[in-house]
Amino acid sequence: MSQETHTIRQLLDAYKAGTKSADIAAQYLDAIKEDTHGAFISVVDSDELLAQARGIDEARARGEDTGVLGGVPIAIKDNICVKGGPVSAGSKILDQADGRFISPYDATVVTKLKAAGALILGKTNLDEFAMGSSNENSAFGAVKNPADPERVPGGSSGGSAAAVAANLCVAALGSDTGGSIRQPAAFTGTVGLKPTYGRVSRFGLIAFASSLDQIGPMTRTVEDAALMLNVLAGPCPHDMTSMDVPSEDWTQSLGRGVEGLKIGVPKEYFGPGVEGLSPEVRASVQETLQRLESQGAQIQEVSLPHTKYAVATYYLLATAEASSNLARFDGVRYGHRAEARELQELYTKSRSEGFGPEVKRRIMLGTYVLSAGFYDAYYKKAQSVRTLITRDFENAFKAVDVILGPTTPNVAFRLGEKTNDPLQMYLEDIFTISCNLAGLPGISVPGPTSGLPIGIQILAPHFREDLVFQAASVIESGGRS
Amino acid sequence: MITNEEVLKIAQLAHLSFEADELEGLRNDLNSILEYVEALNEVDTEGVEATSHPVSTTMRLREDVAESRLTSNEVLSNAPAKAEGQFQVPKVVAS
Repeated sequence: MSQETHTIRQLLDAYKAGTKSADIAAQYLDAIKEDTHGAFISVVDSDELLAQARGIDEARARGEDTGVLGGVPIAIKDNICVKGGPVSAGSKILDQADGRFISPYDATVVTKLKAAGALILGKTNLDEFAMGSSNENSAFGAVKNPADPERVPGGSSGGSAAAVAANLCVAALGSDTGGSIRQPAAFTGTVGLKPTYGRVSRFGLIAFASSLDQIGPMTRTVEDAALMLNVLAGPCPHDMTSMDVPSEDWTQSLGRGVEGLKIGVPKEYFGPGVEGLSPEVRASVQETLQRLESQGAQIQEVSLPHTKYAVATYYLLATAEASSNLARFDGVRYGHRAEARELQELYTKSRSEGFGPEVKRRIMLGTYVLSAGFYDAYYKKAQSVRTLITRDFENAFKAVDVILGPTTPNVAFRLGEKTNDPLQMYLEDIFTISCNLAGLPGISVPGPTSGLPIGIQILAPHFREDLVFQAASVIESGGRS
Repeated sequence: MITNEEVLKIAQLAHLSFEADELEGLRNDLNSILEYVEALNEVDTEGVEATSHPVSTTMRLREDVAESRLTSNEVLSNAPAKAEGQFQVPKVVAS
């Protein structure tokens, strides 16, 4: 029997009322020890964590400011660096007896969480190098969905989603390249936010596709996602793609209601060219729209004509970038090193022994599309289609404030159901991918369901996370203002 | 359609190697994905500029001031083999 479930807000209130951070930390560490979902890859040293928690308790007792996340237990996806601890990226290339990577530095998001007083519990499971939609590509084994242990939790941030859903942490960090925060949030009944590209520093995130990757929070509530973004957002001197744009207190966007808010519904999400939208997901979206309309939102159809090309565009660009980013894993400076007589053999053997099949498949595809003779036909073509996808959104946002649709075509699928068909797995991301291609903020929030969790996705223009939170908080409250 | 020879060539470029019994499955996977992405040829991209970065930005530069990041020891801390403060590798020039 696990401990009481907390949101960040509830926990902070409990601390004010006398609850001890050390007791809470101990409860979460115990819960992780008992976990049967495979959510965590590594857990911090319990003595060190409890000492840190006692320090927060003592500071609080002295009346000192313990930070906006003081004593809040947080889990970190294991492709984000935490100083002094292992970082595996879900891969054996960074976690073998001969080459376990121990990070010599903190990712900027981790620095910010620590400065806010968060207690970092450990590192969560993921698809290897964040490449996957089910968490079955992890070298550390699949993760079970707490909503139904025979089903996947989604991916690639499946461990973070499962950790939040199974009450093994209060909130977690994920990373989202084509839906890797939002899709697992949808499958597990949690809230997952992918901020605008550039809103949150990527320094210390093991890169998959640098023009698409973004770190974001996974939480139980929309308010917690806002509280987390308050901590995570801001420019970073170590990431020149992080943007120097004003941050705000995103909790102020909650509870505003949706009176007069223009919500666009892409007709392509429900028509031909986007196959496989299940009846229960469709019904959940329709019920959500009715609720929002009854609250005063103006619902109108919009068109995103290039939606059906998003998956193809993504898989050309993301694999191209990945083939370049993963070139650094060569057995020389860190990670697994194979026995070899000369340098070329060292590279090839180390990579071939260390990477799993999906990572190799994507490196191969990326290498091919960037190779002489194919660059223009594949890579450059995809970059131009990416421009058209971005323009679709720009045009839509001239008429509406936010865009609403399903996060995924279906509810969580069964473990092993799609592992033999990479393309079928890729198509699971049809609704989430465009957001990354255009760099938009997007959230998945649990929608109405009579069975397994269903995610409703809200997208907004660049740096308008306030609108995302405004709409999501109404959906979360079941349409009640 | 990618041939087995092309798969081997790409593998060489990517510094990967595959067992003989893996090649056919890999070739089929790559061909099915490439067949799927052929759909992009339906899209008229004449005159459409390429997007390499999703948010238009000019590259920010930091002040030209030396700063300390990781020490040599920290950089070498994860090296599978090191000697005299440097990464150690096997022979670079093949015989």
